[in-house]
Amino acid sequence: MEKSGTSRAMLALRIGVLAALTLIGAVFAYRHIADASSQGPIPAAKRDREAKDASRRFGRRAPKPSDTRAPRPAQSSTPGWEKGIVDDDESPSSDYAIRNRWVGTVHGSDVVVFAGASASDASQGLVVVQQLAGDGSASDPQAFVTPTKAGPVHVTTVHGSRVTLVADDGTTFTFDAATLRFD
Amino acid sequence: MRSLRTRRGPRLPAAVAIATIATAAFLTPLPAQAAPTAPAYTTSRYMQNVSTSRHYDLGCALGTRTKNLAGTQQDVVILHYFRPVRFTDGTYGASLLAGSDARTSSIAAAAKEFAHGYYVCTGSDTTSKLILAIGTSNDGSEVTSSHGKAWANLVLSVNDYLSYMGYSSQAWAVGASDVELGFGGPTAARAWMDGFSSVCCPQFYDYGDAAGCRYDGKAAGAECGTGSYPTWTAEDVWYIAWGSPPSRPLPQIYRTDGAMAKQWYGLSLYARSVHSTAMWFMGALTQYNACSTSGCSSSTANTPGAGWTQLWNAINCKYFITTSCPTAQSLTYSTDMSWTD
Repeated sequence: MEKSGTSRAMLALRIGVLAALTLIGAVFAYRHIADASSQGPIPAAKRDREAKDASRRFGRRAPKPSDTRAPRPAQSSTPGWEKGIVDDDESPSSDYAIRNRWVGTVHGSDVVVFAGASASDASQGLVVVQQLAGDGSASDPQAFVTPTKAGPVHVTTVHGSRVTLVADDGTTFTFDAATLRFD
Repeated sequence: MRSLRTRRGPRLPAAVAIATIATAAFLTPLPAQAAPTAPAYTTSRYMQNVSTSRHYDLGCALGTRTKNLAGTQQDVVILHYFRPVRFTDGTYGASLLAGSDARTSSIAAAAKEFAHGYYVCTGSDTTSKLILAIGTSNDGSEVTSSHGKAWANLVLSVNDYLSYMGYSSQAWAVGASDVELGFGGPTAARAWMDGFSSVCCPQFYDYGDAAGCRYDGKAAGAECGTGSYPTWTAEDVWYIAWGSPPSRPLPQIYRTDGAMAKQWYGLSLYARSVHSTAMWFMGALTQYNACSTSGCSSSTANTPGAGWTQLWNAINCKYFITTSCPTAQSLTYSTDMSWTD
């Protein structure tokens, strides 16, 4: 009787210890999981914004030149505008994909003519004109589309106020920066 | 009697033992876990020029360093162009350190070259990444919705360029602002944030402070703010740093006593309890280098490693006893301000 009672007691003790260990494990596992996930879900608006931002990154990877000094841009004064035809794709707005620009003087006023295409329709070439103030600031950009859709254009030559542009398909356009019209 | 004792005796102690151990397990603070080693820090800069060649050189210097470090690096750099300005023709910009204002188009051109330099000079390292945080502040009278919108368009133009040129796999820009509770009030700062947020889709990093917010391990509340601008609340700071869809906090952890890290812990607790989601911090900003060259109070000269570790310890509940840690997270970035641009 006593032997049988001791055996039961040992069994109960073993079960008890096993249960305690299981419980301790569960407690620590719960706490570990709770720590990792207890921040709560990232708000939907934030996730959506992040996804849209990420979608603007193109997968294309530019080749890297071995000479890291080679692509170094020319020193430019700040904040003024470099005169002449400038091979720089800086755009006054994300609405336009710019190829290059011309900065010069028309009727005594400095003007910048950006050449390129619409960001939403690459087949539609255009120029974007801004008048420059003495303090280096610029007026709101005005866009003028090419008479035909011949792809993005770039400035090749300038005579007076007449800006010659060539499109990707070879079509030539002339834009008059004085009258703000294409010929 | 003996039989009864042998039957009941062992069960009772076992049950007591189980209950005791389980209770102790719940009540004992989380097991001590040392903070991980802080990541290699980057140098962020107070800018006094928008020279494209100088920006290229700075980006190239960072890219070269990154290339020479083992493994893949996650770099973040803040280029701080100071307070918002508005030109007479209605266009926007920032004041720069020396006060010669720069238009957003000039800042964009410069930032593009920083990213370009980084991309080129990381060379054979094609996996490390740069987040370029183009920063202004909430200081001055031009902290407006329109300026926020212009700043977002600035970032957008930089990212369009990076995508177009094929640099975006390793360099990407975000908007940023040093939103300090002593610079201005919450109304203007929130309006600026809303203007920024209205432009799809740049992200935004708040690298400001949480002056006045409590740092005693409890959720922040109405106590935030400064003597000049006392109307700030935890809700305002939360909105700028996390609540607005583009926002992420990359806070200043300048103080050596850990108080600033604890303030952000209190704000994250606020976020969790009031808005269901704790803040997710991008990293910690220190000013050790700037202090070394130009001086500052030694109490605000945390080293980059110390600042990062303080923030990690705070948000992972190492300063205050908790049964669980609702703000726990990893911490990616460490960056340190420099006056050298």
